[in-house]
Amino acid sequence: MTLNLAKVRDTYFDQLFFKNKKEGDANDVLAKVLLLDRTTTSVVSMCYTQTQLLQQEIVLIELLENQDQLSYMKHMNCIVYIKPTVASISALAKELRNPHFKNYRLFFNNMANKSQLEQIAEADDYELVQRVVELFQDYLTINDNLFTLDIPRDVANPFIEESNCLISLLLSLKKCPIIKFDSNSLSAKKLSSELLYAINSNSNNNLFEDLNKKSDRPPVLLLLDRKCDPITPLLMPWTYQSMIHEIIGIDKNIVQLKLAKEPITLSDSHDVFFKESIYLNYGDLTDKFQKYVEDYKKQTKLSSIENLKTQNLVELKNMLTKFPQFRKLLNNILKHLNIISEIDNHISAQNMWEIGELEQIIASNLESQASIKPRLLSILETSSCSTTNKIKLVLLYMARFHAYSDLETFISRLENPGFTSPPPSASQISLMKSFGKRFNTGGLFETSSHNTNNISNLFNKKISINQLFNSSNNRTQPDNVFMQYIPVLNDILSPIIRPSNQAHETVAKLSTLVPDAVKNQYGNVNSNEPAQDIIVYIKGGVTYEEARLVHELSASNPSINVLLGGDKVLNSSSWLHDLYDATNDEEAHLAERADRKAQLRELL
Amino acid sequence: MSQSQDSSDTGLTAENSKTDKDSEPPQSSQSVELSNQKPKRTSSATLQCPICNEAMISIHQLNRHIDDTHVESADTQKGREDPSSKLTTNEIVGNDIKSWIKKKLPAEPTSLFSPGKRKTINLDLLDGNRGFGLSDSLNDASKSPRSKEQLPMELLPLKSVSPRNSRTNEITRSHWRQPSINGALSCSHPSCKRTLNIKNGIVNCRKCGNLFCNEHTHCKVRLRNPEPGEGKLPLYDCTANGVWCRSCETCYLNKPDFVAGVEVTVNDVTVQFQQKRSEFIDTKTLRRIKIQKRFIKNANLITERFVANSRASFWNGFSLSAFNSKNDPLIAQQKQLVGSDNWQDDSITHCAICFTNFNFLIRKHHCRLCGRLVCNDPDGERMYCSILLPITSFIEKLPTLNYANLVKQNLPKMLEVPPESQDRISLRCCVDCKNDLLHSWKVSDELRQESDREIFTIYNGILVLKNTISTLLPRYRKLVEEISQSDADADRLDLNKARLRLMSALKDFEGASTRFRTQFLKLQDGKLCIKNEYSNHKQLVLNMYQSTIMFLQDNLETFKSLNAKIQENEKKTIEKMEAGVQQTERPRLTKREVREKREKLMVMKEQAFIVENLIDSATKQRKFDEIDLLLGNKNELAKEIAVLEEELGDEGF
Ligand SMILES: [Zn+2]
Ligand SMILES: [Zn+2]
Ligand SMILES: [Zn+2]
Ligand SMILES: [Zn+2]
Ligand SMILES: [Zn+2]
Ligand SMILES: [Zn+2]
Repeated sequence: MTLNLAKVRDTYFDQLFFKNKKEGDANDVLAKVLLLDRTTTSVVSMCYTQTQLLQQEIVLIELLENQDQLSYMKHMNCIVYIKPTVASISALAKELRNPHFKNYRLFFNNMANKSQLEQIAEADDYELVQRVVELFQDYLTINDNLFTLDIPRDVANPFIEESNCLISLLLSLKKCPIIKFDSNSLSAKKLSSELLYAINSNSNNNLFEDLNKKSDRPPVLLLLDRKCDPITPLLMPWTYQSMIHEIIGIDKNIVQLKLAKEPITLSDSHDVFFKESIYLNYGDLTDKFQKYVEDYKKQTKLSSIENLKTQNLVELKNMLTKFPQFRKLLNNILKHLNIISEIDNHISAQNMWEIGELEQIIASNLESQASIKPRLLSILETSSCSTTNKIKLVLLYMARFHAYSDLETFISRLENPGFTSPPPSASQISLMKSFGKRFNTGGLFETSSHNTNNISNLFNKKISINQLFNSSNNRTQPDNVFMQYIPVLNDILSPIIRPSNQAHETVAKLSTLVPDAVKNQYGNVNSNEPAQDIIVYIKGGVTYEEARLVHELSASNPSINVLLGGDKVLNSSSWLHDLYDATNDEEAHLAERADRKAQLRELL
Repeated sequence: MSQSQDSSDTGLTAENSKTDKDSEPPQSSQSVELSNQKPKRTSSATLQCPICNEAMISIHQLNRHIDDTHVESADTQKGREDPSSKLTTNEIVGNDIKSWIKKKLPAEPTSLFSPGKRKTINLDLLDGNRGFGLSDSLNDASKSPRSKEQLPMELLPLKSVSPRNSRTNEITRSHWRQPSINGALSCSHPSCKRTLNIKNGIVNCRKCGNLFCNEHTHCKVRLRNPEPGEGKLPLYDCTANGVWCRSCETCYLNKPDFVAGVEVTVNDVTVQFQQKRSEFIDTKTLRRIKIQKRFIKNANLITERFVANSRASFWNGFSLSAFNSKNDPLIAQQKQLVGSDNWQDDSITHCAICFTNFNFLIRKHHCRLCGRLVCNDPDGERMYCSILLPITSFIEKLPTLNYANLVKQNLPKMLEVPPESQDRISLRCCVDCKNDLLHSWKVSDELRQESDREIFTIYNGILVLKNTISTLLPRYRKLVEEISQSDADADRLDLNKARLRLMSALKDFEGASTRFRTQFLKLQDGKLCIKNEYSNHKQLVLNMYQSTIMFLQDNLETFKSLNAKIQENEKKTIEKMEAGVQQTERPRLTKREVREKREKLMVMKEQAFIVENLIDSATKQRKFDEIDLLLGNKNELAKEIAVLEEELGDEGF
């Protein structure tokens, strides 16, 4: 295993909070304050729990920008963890000129440049700074194999910002990769050249030199565009983490249930049940949860008052030792019970079994158009199904069959208030009309002569992961109809992991950029060597289903490591929202052009 | 790539052309747009090796390639008669040469193919019956009892053209394991039971030399030959010089990057930072010294004039006009002190600090310590640009500077000057000079009020106890582990001592946390809240308390589980003893019994203490069902303790 964000998180935790402890240094027995900025607040809150921080004597966490409201506490040591932005650096300089705390340890979550370092050195008049360290954590860790970037909307140049964040990811894992990008995507192209420039011009501190010294092949950074697979985020997923995001929504690992007041934190590092069930399909999940509850009951039964009276003292003692554990366990059970019951309510209220099955059938090409159409019509005529779910089915159908003649029938059903309420909006209707074409041209897909509709290539027959890796462990394929669909990412990754002689029909047209440091080490890089370490970044958003795919790839084959990320994590509603926006933009653009044409005509 | 190719496929290999991608043509879909890494490929008629598909320029070269790459070295082959590998070069050539010889393939740029860098043959190897790799297509041919044919003359390798360069191109094979003459071999992969034959493959892992089936040598690693003194096995080489070789999964997963695991960058720039800082501090110190000197001289001058004026006893109301006038001789002296170069010219129109335009209301003033022109801004309407202060207020803060005696003597008098007349003994200076001047005073400044002193005094006490427990607990754990491994009786004393110390530390800690709670927190509506007088440190105090409670709970838990371990151990030894020694009636307790009962009693008391703790916290959190349970436990424990104490009588403690 050479790529794992949990390891990064733990290493940085030690750096930030633990490694400070020098033997016999009386100063270190002091309570500590942690000063953060907006970016690092998200980073820290997603990586570390309050309990962890309290255990390291972090008894106060403040925003650096609020320094004017701080009181002077010279009995406390201060840990500063900030992103080296202009604002944060000058706030830090201000703090050092007028220090509130005894001494300071400074950490940056990305490269700080020389002048920033100087600015702080100049401000440190009282010589209170004891340590200055660059960590590389300008991204949010969701699972040990999944990250997102946290780019503010108002940033001046999003490509540079995005590139900086990815640079921090590469540096944190000590990887200097070759960059492969979807050559049909303008934004992937822009981002890749930004990254190449950043890596090659990193003469400041030469951090990219010597990074791959222990690896006999360069890592691969794969930059994709969500547009190359518009289908995956539309489908109802059927595994735990994905379902939570689809039905309830996960924002920076926090879930807000409708009925609960307190938000719930989900983390694969501090919740064993979640860690074990994160990729389980719904059936397995409910089984596992039931077992979990029964185990708890069994254990607590032993500790009921009646039982305790008859137990001997040793056992009584063991029981008592376990009380705080039981409390924790109970809280955890309640947490997942609440989540699962909300998911369950949603599934039954929305006919999700029926809809999900049909989604899988369309997307995985399991049945013919003739048998699918009546099923779709019957769902469109069911008033208890939501408008959005119906639209998603229509979109899948259109993308698959391009049957524009059927579209009018569908829309008439959708606009019938007896079947569907609320009726679809204008942007929803225009999306349904354009979806099949939108991803028709300029897509990632090889034009094949026998198939004019490129989007149909998205619906390749399910390819067994094991088939790709001819590994010896024969994982049983899920025969569950809800687990049929496999995201296109699988087909994009397989030729990179296993380049083959056969004229393998590749899904994505990828271009390659090779940084100087990689050339220096490996000479000319041959893309036919199987890749070992792959970091995938999907611009436009990633899904938890893809994270699961990547997890399965890595788990079934110890010789490859895959990390996945995106600028956000999509669920179907946020993806639809993006699609509506794009459609509206395009129509506004077209209307504008038509206007201009009309004007021109009038002029002539 | 081809120069670093592992084209040394074994003679034992039944290469599966499907898995052997050594020389597959680059995929056309992976076009290279921007990197200019690879020139555009052109198609030309070329030869291709039937075994590994490597491209060749001439038959001559191909011939050499087959011989060199696909023929096993003679010494490893001697005396071996593996029926499955009896085919010879002749057969391959005879059977398939026509089909592959004219195969078209996209050629690599010739620069990558320069024959000089390719492996060349060693003619001495080309005799005898050597087996070599078989492609799948030859499997059928291998079954037919075809006898050896003569190799067509023109395909016979000629005398080697370039000298063999084994160090760079040929990975050593001396470590290869040979298939035994008789008996079926099976794949060395731990979970593979396949027998090694033509169909499954017989492949040596280039790294470890063990034999595997095709499927279990699908990995590739870069290797180089060992230098003298580095052993016999090939070594991993992660540079372009490394030769791509087939390897088994174990050797793949033993590559240096897998062994190192996830590596994480931490870039400590403390040293650079400190360097920069000391540079800044040096220049700042120099400037501070300069400003300080100027201040001392200014103080001397002002005092001199103060003394002169007092002697003349004119000073009431008279001297003020002279003092403020431009012609005041003091200003000339002050200008001289700063240096006329530094004394800014009156033509300057902007304040040096806030850059505001001077005008009728915002007047310009010279800073007497640096000579810059600044505006007067005592209340910070702009940037506190300059201020006029009596020198006495500086001298009071900086009493140890090397002032003239006159200054020291007249300080009390000057301090008596009423505020309305203080202008006479005042000094104008800019905010920068003021900060520089007072820097040393600020460093030693303990004047800042600390509302939190009380909190930290108590909390630091807790932290010290925490530290004690954190050192005692691991020591105790170690003793417990030692005891449970041996039955040594002598360690008991140490163990009990350690336990008592730890227990008392935990009790102290519990006490301290209670004190912290009663000091700062109150119970309101069943919840712990901060007392009003500390409410501006609410989060701090609550976090401190939570951290304390967490620590107590965690450590108590560990302590208890360690004790339980001991008791279990104890129970076992007692059972052993009882089995060995027949119990007889004894009027008095034996020493061992006393010890056991004492230990039991101690554990009970601990238990009672813990239960009380739990009751306490359950009460606070209003968990009444738990309280009931715990109270029951407590009573039970009390009974047991009473019984034990009675039994022990005088032997108790
Ligand atoms: Zn919108
Ligand atoms: Zn060959
Ligand atoms: Zn091996
Ligand atoms: Zn095998
Ligand atoms: Zn000013
Ligand atoms: Zn000045």
